[in-house]
Amino acid sequence: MHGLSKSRATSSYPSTLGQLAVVLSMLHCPSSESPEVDPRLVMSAPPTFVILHEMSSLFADPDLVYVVPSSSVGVVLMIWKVNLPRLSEGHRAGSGYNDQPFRYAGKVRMLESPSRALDLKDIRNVNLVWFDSKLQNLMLPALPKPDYVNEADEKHYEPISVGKVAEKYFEWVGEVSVGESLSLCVCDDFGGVLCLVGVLW
Amino acid sequence: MFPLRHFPELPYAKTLLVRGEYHPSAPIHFCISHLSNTDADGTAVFITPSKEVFVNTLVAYNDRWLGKYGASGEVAAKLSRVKVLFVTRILIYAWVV
Repeated sequence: MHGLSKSRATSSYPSTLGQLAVVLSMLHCPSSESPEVDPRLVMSAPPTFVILHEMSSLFADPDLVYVVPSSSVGVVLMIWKVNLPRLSEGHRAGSGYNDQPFRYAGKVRMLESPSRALDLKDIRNVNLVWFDSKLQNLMLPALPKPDYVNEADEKHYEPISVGKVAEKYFEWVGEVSVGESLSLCVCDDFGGVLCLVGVLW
Repeated sequence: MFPLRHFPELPYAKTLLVRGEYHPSAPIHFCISHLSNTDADGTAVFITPSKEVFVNTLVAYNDRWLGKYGASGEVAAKLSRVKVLFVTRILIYAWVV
């Protein structure tokens, strides 16, 4: 049973970033309008569940903090070939900047809508879960404050936690803290966990 | 987020944000629980930045339940419906900028 299950698992390990970009851009569900493609790049059915895991670690480098907001959610959207609007200078300086990046989070709902552009005609019920232990360490605004800011725009550059902004886009928010009982979950047998890793990858 | 059938199920959530010091195996348990409550053809896409960090953390934590049941046919069959994708910072940077 183990071997049979593993044979049904599909994992991709592109060796270069360029290959990874190609894999992600080509991943889609089959349709009558789609040409024949490598079956490893085609999902047999739309996923019912999308999990983002520790996306904040991608932006631990302060030099890359500028791309924090939109890309966190954009990773998911990219798989379905949705191109997010780029943060042009106009977006950066415009009103409502703090909300602008996470407005894209609402686009996750696009996954539920039939759309030729998304190549997903059957999606009705996609659940999204974001696990992140360091989300509270990310702060907005993602862009440095310009030398001159209009008084009306001043509030948009006040520091705010990304976690607080993200709350607005999730039906449930779970705060997890470490308790003493967690230590009871640890055992000395690594065999099962290693087998589990083998199933996933 | 908890071992299958060993704890009460979480309430249904269309979208859920989990933050803080959750245990490293929480996403795995969540996948198993979710796929147990969906049709047999339900699938999940798991996106994480680093395979090395995720696997090492998971193994180091050594979840007792996963150690005992992780390789069983029932659990392995569910996890076979999870597609794992790894993304990199540079790729995202290039894509957005």
